[in-house]
Formats: sequence, C-alpha cells, structure tokens
Amino acid sequence: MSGDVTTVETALLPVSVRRTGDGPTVLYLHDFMFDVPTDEPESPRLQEALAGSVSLVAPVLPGFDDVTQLAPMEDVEDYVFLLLDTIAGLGLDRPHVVGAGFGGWLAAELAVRRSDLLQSVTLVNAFGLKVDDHPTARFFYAAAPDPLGGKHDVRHLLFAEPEGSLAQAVMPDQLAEPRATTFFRHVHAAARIGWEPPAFYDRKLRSRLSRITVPTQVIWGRANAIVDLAHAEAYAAGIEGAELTILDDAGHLVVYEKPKELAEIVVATVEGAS
Amino acid sequence: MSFQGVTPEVLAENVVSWGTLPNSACDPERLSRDYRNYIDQASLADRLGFDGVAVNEHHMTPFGTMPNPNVMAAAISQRTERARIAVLGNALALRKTPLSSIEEYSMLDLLSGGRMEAGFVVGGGPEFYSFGQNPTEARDRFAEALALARRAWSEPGPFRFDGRYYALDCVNPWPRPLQQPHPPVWVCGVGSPPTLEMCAREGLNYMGVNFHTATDEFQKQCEYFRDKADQYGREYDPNSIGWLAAVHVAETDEQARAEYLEGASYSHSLAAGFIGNSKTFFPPGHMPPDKLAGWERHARAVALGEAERGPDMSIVGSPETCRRLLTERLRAFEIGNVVMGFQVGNMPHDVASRSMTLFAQEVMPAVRKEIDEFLDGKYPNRTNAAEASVPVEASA
Repeated sequence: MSGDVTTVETALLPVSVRRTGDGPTVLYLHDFMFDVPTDEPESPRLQEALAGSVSLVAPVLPGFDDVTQLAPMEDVEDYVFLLLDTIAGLGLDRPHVVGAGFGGWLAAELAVRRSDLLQSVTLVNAFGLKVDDHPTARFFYAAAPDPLGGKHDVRHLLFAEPEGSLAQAVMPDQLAEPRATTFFRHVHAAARIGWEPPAFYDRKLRSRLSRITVPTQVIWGRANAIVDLAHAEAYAAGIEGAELTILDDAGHLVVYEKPKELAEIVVATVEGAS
Repeated sequence: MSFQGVTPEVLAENVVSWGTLPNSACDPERLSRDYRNYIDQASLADRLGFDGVAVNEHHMTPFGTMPNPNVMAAAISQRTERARIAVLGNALALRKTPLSSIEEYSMLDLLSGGRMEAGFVVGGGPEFYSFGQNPTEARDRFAEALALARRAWSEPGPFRFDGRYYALDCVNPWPRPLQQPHPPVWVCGVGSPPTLEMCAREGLNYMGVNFHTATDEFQKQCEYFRDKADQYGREYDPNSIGWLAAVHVAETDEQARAEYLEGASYSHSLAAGFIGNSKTFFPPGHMPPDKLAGWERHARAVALGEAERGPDMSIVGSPETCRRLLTERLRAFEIGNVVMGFQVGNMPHDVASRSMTLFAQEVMPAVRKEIDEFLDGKYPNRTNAAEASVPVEASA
C-alpha cells in the first residue's frame, strides 16, 4: 500500500498514519498480525481494494513499529484517547471506523465512548468481549517461539486453511528477517493490553455496547478459531440495529483471506451511512 | 531441586513440563522424602565447610519444587550453623508487593543469625502464564519493586512510596534484619544485557542462574558486566558476580560421567522446553522481539545439528578433572562466586552426598587457594564476601 505517510502528535506519542484514495473518510484500525499498513509486497490487499472508493486513513497502533513506544500505553483508555487525538489531529470529520481483530476491539471501545464523532462502525473479527464458555484461544502460547514447530500453531488459529498457499505465504514456518522480528514485535504490541487471560478483552465492554448509536456492521469469518462466532453474536446482540455478516471459507485474518468481499461490505456500509 | 518421581510414562505423554505437566504426577509422599534429603544435603554442606547453600524458585513444574524458596530457607536455617543461605528467588513481579519479600527476608536473617543473601528475580517466562501477570511490563515493574525493596531496607520508616506500580502511604517494615543495613542483595538473571547493565550501574550483585548457557556465552556476559561497571565509574568487584554450574565428582572421570548422565537425563527431560517443546519460556515482552527471533533461529539450528550448542557448563569428573575445569573457568570469568548444583535431577541422595563430600575434601581447598591468589593479584580491593562453592539444591 502506498500513499502519504504523515505523523500526528498525540498527548501520549507520535502516531504514523497512511492516507490513500479519495472519497468518504474511513479510519482503519489494523489487527495484530502482519496487517499493519506498509509498502511491503506481503501487506494485505484490503487497503488496495478500498482505495478506489474511500479515503483510507490508517494509523499504526502503538508498539507495532517500535515496542519502546508502549511505555505510556497502560490500558484501554490510553488507546481511546490516542485515537481521539489522532482524529482531532488529522481534522477528520465524523469518519467511518473499520477495525479488524485487535483494531476492532479498539474501534468498539472508541464507539461506546464517542459515537457522536463517528459515522459508522464496522467490526471485523473483533476482540474485546468476554463471552462465557467462549474464551479466546491461547494466542500468546501459540505464537511463542517454537524452533521445531515453526508457525504451525498460530497459523491454525488465524487462517481458515492453515496449510493452504495463502497462509503459507503470509506465515511460513521459518520467517526470514525482517519479518521474523516483526512477528514477535506484533505479538508484543498486542500483549500490552491483550495479555490478561483469556486474552483480548475488556470486562466492561459488553455492558456498554448499547452506547453505540451509529450504523454498525459485524463481519466474521465462519472458521475463526481464535475468537469464535459467539463473540460475533454478542456484538450483534449488544448493538442496536447491528448487521451481522458471516463469511464462509474465512478465519480470523479476513483482511488477507477475503479482502474483496470485506471491501464490498465496507463500501456498502459507507455509502449507506454517508 | 526437582521432584524426583515423575515416571517415564508420564514424561512420554507430556512433552511440556513447565506449567502444564498435570499435577496428578506429583506424589506428595515422595516429594516429602525428597525435601528431607535436600535439607540433609544443606546440613551436610554446612558441616563440610561450604561457604553457603542456595535455594531457588520455580512454579508449577517438577523441575523445581520450591514455589516459595523462603519456606525452604527457613527450614535450612534451623539445620545449619555457619553456612550463608542464598535465596536465588523471590520473583517480585509475581508478588502483590515487594514488601512481603522484605518482611520474609528480614525474618530469615533473624532466624539464621544474619546469614542471609537476599536474591531478587524478574521471574521466568512460564510464571507469567501461571500467574497471569503482563510480561510486557515485567522489567519496569521489577525495577520499581527492587527500588522500593532497597529503600525499605535502607531508609528509616515510615515513609511514603509513590510509584507507578506500587503506591503506599506507609512503608515501615518490621522486623529489621540482623545484618545492617540489610543482607547482601543479589539480582538473578540469565544474561539479558539490561539486567547486567542495571546491576553494574547500581552496584548490585549479579548471579547468572542459567544452567543452559554455554561457558563462552557466560564469559561474554562477565566481560559485559565488567565493561559496564567501568563505564559507570564503579570499580569491578569479582565477588559481586556469581555463576551457577552443575557439578559432579566421583573417584574417576568414567564413574562421574556415568552417574552424572543418569541424573542429567532426567533433568533434561523435565527441562525439555529449553530446547524446543515448552513454549511457555518466552511470553511476549519478556525479551525484545529481535532476541526472540534470534533465539528461535539458533535453537532450531542447534536442534537440527546445524549449529554448535557451545561448550557445556557442567563440571564433571574425578577430583583432579573438577579442580582443573573449575579453576580454568573461574579464572576465565574473573569472578569470585560459584553456586553448584550437586543434586542433579533424580540422582540418588547418597550419590549426591558422596560427590559433595569428595568436592569439599579434594577440590574445594585447591580451587579456593588458586582463585583467591589470582583474584587478589588482579583485584586487590575486592570484598571478602563468600569466595566460592555454594551448593544449590537445584537440578542441572
């Protein structure tokens, strides 16, 4: 993904932001695994698929480029304030927000506090909820260094076809540098607020979902093995008027697995809500 | 000190022993006997003239059976007379407050007649899975906890402490320790540069506690520690750094090797994770991302036979061999302390005790003499802390 890279000063730390395309403004919050917007050829295709229809604003979340940035990021509130500063700093006027996985959690946290600043919300395989009897899978254990097992365990959590060519291309067992280090940097950044077992949740978020008052889409991969469909249903049930779309043959990393389908839903949502 | 009774069947079914080996495999009757033997070994070390005995801390694993090493230190304090007692544990990040460590260490110092060496550790990777604490803040939290602990021992209470992780209106620990202002403080680590640098900068004692570090790696860590001490304007003191090694002495090299390998093989099966199977060792943030990637590559190469593991740290052989190996290494490291694990894995109690006795009679005096002369010549201002030879009830 090319585009203009700018830096926004926030109260906590400077945030690098990529902007591409023309059209209604979409604030895109990335997930936790290799989907940080970059110029690398391995970057996911979602941004490209969207670039023709919307003006995409994609910040790099704290720590994903540099873990030393994480020092001031202590809890969910810090992330929400950082996003509010980012929206204000860029002068975004009621953007549509799209969040995937880890970024989906943050999108929901932002929306329960300041729906008035947003035009629509799209949650893709979003973490954030604690759902009884449906704990998230043990991602941090799966993603730990595994000299002989490689990335097998984490691939099986993130992809509908973990041994297929796409999963193998994005996450082969032996990653070459710099991606080998990027992998652990992304896990580290996600652990900052996501570590607490069973991982990636805010105990209070579910009871606050009714505070989201803008059109909301909930999009889930049917084969999501890390945050299952019960979470999709909990989001859809908790947000008034939310629409739930379940994608077949998709797991957690829908941005890689179904970029076109995802882009179509996002564009339709944006057009419907604008 | 390991629990010695994990059966081969259980080991065959469970490749991961750290944090996840079912605790149904723990036979309390057996472990109670193991405990008695370990305390007997500490008492024997005291009588044999070792400078001290050491205990360590592990959680939820048969590899180490002292989740609270202070409890074991209390028992040892009542079965020993003159040996110093080093606790190479107290994972501050796992405790609600470091003041509980300070309280327990002060009690131990009183109970032992002022023989405590107070260790503090960040906590190993598996413990962050076992306790749920966030590993990405572990080092920051440890640094603050250590600062609070040291202040609580050196500044008269009550005082306020206003930290990021610990905020207390009233820091005023009772009792005070017998050693004033406080027992020697050791930070235990496995060679991470930030920990070595912190110790060198703050003048803290450092104990390298990783059995699985190759000797050439540990030598580099010692050089790094000296360089950093120099950089921060502190005179290097060889008694401010220690090394942990597995030791086994028998009449001949062949006998020693055979006895050692039997115990070590059990120990290695419990510690399989160091090589590849136990993913709990490296939670995110416990080490920097590039170090994790580098470790994964190196461990894979070693496992596939594509890279050398580096020279083994263990000191195994006849008295003459052990004298030579130990002297060579202490000279190369330029350090004044070595903690030795005589109880290797499930080695029988009488074999470990015989090894300790042989060591004390035929190895220790010569090593002490040569290393003392060497260090006195090179570092005439070194302190007169424990010089060598502390047996640790841990396994190699």
